[in-house]
Amino acid sequence: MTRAALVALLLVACGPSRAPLPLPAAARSWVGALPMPSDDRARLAAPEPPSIVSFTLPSGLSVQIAEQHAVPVVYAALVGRGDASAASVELDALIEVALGGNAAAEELEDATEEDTARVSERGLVLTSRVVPAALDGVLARYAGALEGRALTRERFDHARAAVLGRARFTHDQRLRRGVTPEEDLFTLLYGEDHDRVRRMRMRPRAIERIDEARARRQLASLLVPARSALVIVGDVDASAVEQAVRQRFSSIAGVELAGIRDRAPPRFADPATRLRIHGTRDEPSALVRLIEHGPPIEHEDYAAFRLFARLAGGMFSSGLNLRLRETRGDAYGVMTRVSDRVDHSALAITVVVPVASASSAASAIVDELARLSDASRIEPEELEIARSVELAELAASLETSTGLGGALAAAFLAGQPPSSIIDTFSRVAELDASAVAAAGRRWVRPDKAPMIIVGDYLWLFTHPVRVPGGVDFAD
Amino acid sequence: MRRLRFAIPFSLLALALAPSRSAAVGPPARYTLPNGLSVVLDPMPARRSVAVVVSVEAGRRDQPQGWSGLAHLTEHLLFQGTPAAPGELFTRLERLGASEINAQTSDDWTRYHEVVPSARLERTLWLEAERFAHGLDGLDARGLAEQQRVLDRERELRDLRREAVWELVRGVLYPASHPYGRSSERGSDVHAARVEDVRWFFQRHYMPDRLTLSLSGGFDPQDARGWIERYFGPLRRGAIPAPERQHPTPPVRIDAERRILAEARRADDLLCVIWPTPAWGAEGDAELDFVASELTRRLTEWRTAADDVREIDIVQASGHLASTFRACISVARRSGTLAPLVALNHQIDLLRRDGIDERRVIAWRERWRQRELLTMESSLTRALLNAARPPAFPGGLYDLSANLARYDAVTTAGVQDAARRWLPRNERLVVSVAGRHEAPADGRIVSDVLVREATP
Repeated sequence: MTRAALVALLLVACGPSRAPLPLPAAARSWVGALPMPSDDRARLAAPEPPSIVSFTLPSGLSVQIAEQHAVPVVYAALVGRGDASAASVELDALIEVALGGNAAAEELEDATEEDTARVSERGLVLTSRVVPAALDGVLARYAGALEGRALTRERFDHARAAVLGRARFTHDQRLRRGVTPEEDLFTLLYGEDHDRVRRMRMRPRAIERIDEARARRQLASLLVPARSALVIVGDVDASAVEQAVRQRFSSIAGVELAGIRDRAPPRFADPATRLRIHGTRDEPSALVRLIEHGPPIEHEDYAAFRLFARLAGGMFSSGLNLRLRETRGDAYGVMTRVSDRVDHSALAITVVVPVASASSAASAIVDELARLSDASRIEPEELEIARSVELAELAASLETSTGLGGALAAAFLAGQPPSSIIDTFSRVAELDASAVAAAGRRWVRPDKAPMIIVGDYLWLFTHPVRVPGGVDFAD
Repeated sequence: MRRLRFAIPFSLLALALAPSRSAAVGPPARYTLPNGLSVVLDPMPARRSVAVVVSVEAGRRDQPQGWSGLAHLTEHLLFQGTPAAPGELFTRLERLGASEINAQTSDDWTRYHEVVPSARLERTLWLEAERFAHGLDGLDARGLAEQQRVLDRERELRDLRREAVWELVRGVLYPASHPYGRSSERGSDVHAARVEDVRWFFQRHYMPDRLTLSLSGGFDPQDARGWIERYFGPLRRGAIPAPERQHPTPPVRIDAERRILAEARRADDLLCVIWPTPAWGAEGDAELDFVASELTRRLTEWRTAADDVREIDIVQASGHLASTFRACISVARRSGTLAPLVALNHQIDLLRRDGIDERRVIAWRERWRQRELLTMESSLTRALLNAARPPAFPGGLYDLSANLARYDAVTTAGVQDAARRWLPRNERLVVSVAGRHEAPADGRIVSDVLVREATP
């Protein structure tokens, strides 16, 4: 073997195990220019208001039924307005597991994987998606829930075991690691020892102390007929369903109403230091997250605030996403969402980047919030895109039984009439840059909104993060 | 007794509610353009939006040895616009009011999709045709480097999820000669790709006879046919010969229990037991769906008494050429994976020995039927399913009726036989992953042992 051959062999052995690919047939496509359609910039039409059959049963239970016949699917929801936060977070979690899908293995014939239960600050929502022939089974379950028969011993035992396992895990994590970054972030938003922060901690002992009677009492308080609604949307005959509902639910007795506790409106004080760093060891990526309060869903600013969130990372074409993903390749994507609380909404912006880019990502978020609070700096094109996306998603969501049913359930939970789901469309359609920026200025604090970075301690210690509002390290 | 008391009124109610006025979910219209492009039209008259899917019959399995990530990279780069439609493609789609904009690369296919208002369908079809006609014409080294970095970020996020375990052991299950043996994405491979390599992959695989355009939602079929002919008709194959079509392969054989001890930067310990199984739609695939459901139910009962169990995920993961049956149980860190393995073994042994109750098979059949029907509500899901071309299905095309018929045909004997035939104790991977802070995020195999004697 010659020396050159030996060197070549060694190079092959040490190099990558990939053979070169053939060259492409052409540097450009061989397909000629395609014909172009005419440009269409007309605004999207508002969706048709759904036709809803509404009535109230003697117990005070409100019923809303809408027909949609595109596919043989029915969405049903039993919605109870109530003060879920009056109970412990452990009890809420137990109710969610007990009444959700696959709650009890032996009750397969009664539950499907499409059953959910969700307890929020506004109350309880049970939902089911079924084929039309299975609707009567769902109605029977919901009637049973209103009559206090939903929480069987088996479901209770199963749910308590499941929640206990989860709580032990999170409790153990907390004991070993201390305050979680998420808890720290919400402490910056709400203040020390706020009820909403306490509810982020699941305590195994509190679950062990919950007995069946207490869980039943809590469930009953969340499903008072006069504060509840039954929503049915889908491939049904509304008059047949009305008859069936009256037959099955009319005998349910009304319950004397206990008042819902008045909650003091939250105060959002500026945090002394707005960004906290939670150090890790040797993680290549860092998580950067900002949270800020916004208007409650019924507030006149809410539609503009949602559009503000779209612009602040809530769509592919947002400035943040273009900068962090498409220009820098620093992120897989920016995730921005608005979530609903009983007395405010919350804007969350999250991005995962290499730790070396964490500081610049945090600055980019802060700068973007400041920019979007100034109407003169919002480009007409980006506003038009945000509006198109928001309107199209609103309209498309009302086309399915699940989307329309979910919107009706959410409106009831927020104390709003069914017509509000269409009103949102027209409000969004009318918004201009001034309204969006004004909502931003009223609710968003670019220099103070709480932030966290979770990333490699050594890097972040030796490469200080600089954003207005101050930075410190978590203990 | 309580159930009996309600039996009569319930049955009357069922009669009152059962009639359905929806158009039955019938088969969509299918045809082929002269250039070989397959079209699936599934109009839903009550809708005012349309899901648009373009599925390419090329995925990770089509990557040459040493070029993992090439299919995924091509997918990302086809969002960068064309000379006639410059700028990011998703910005143009969002301007039209598109939602659900995304793309995925699997072992078997790559697909691109969005949901748009019906009034914007023509322009969307033009943009999609532009993507496949001229999508890489403007590609340069800078654009490539940006997306190589974005892929790094995507891989880092994936490392935190359970799929990372599958990625870790995929190479152990499938030999390099198997199409699925070339699937795991490696950063060094991704960064080795040059503009010409991506163009070669695109020109070899992204040809009209490998594309399926699928529409579901509110649109006029006549208008849609005209637009599709106008914009997709000009696409044509170039000088690079078409690759051979791939067919389902018999499941790979493992002639022993292969025990893999691994560690990863996770908050839990994880057991994953993996068997090679038949492809999507092949004999035994539907039965294994029932086995997965039944094992999940039984282990959920066991979990009630087991404090440390966090999550149970058992699935027949069906692929076009081959599948895997995966049973993963997550437990608290340092709990170890022996207890879940013993519980899983016990339940599989019972299923193999005693079979399954007829009542359960009826329940699972109803559950799987419902699941399939409920997915039909989403126009996007419909369009994605209609675009699927699993070779083991009749005619090599996904069809709802054929899929429901598969589940209707499952019997108690079939379920027991599937458990006996496809889930033997001595032909599987048993992967035990210890969560350790010091371990790499994407995991590391610590030991790999072949055990010819079955686990007691």
